[in-house]
Amino acid sequence: METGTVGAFLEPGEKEGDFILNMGPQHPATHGVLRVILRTEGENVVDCDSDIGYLHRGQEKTAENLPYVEFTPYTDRLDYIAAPAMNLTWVEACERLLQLEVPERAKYIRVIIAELTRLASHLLWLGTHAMDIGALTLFLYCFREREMVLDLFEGFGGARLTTHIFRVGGLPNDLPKGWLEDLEAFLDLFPSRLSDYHKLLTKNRIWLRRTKGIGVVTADECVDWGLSGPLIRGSGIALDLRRKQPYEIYDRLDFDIPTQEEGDVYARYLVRMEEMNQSLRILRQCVDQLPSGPFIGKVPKRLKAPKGELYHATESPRGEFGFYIYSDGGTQPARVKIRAPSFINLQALPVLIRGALLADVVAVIGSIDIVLGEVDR
Amino acid sequence: MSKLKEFLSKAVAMADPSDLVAGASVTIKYFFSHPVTVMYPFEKREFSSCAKGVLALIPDKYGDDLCIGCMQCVKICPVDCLTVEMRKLSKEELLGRKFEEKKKKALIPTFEVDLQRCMLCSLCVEICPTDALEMSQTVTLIMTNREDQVLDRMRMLELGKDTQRYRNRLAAGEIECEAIQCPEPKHKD
Repeated sequence: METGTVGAFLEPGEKEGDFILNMGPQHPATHGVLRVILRTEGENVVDCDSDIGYLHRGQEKTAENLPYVEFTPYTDRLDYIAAPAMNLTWVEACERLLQLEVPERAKYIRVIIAELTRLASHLLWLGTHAMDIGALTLFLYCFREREMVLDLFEGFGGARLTTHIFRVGGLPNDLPKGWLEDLEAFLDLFPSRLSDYHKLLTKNRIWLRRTKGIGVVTADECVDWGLSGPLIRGSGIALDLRRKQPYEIYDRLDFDIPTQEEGDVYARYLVRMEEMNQSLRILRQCVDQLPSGPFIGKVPKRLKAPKGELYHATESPRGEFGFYIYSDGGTQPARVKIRAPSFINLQALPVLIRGALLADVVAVIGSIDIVLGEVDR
Repeated sequence: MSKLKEFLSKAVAMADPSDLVAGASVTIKYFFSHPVTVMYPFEKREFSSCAKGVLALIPDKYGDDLCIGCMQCVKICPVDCLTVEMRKLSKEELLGRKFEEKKKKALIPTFEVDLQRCMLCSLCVEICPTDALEMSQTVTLIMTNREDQVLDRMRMLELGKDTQRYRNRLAAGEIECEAIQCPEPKHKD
């Protein structure tokens, strides 16, 4: 094998029983087109490497050739499971760069949509993660509730998956009549559904044996690898950008950052489950405090950014998602770099997998919660 | 002795069925509830009023479009899926013509959207100064070849009837003409 190719260090060893196993890119448990090369010794995984890039579309380069407003629909295609979170980061980054004011009402509605996104994303994660491990029932229940959230997106922005739900300067439209009532009905219903999930999994003996002590990553390793999101919170570090660098109106809201000490698959499961609970709390507060007023601020027709650079990050359901924009004073960004949490979290895969059993690989990949659209960009 | 204790505690934990009972109770609970699935080809779900389907042109009350040919939609489209051609009308030609939109002083011989490129972002709808464009509620368009994926002006006007705004205007009595007019051919020979 040539040097520099993926998996070059995984050449078959001299040891008898060593086996190189390819998992993916067409594998249902890799959540997209991820190829994992595993070096196994019987059932044990000795080493692994991941091969990415099957979904590369050159989003960062595309951004250089489009005006600021026109790149917003492209951000949907990064993390397509949580498209509004991607829109939010881009739109906020542009607003900071172009120094635009956003009305209060728009900020509240943005937080409502962002937290609903977190719910939808975590529901999809929970369903598919449990299904990978073997609990098929939960997948159906999770998708039922996710459908309700997507219906709310459809009622507000018109689309369900690639939403393009925010605009630079505010929102495309105000909340339609009856939307808040729909949201409140969902908020009343969801806690009972969440307790159903807990009943199905949290104390289930099979679930415990499949997840406890698997894919352990310590707090120090998390910092070394630059992990973020539920991964780092599952290892005991309460890093959440909603609290550390509040954007929109998160500094006015009362919510907890759930953490767990163990750093295994089960800890990350508990963190995400509690995050859904906290999202509900945030949603309730936003609905209660929602002010009236305009939904979009003054946006000049021709947006021209001043010369300069900026990094803006938000807490997407998967971790710290950021845009680095370098502007040379034109109507288009000169350079754009996307800091994708899935990409960085995925790099720690060998740390998490080494020493695990082959069947645990699926559990570990599921617990990182990657979306390949964002990894490959 | 400690090993025996460990074994016994494990055995007790294994014999305790509370976790399985809790899980099974959830599954059994849903045996008695109604299914939430919509049996798609036989029944179709209602879309919300602002659902975004294929791009459409809103017909005005005389059956023409509202487009004034300002080309702002063409400029803002991130994927360049729109093709618009505009022909300005002279003063003589304008006499006797009825347009709903006062700004409208032009005919639009061509207005095409390439559905293979369009990503339904609705930026063109938002920038349109005369609200000539709208996202229709049609989401399924079945074609047998690629050329049909480019919708011409007539088909976009037909789709305009499947928009919430057209229905509202029809209900309010703002629209008289049901028929859709074809613009004059580009070259008169």
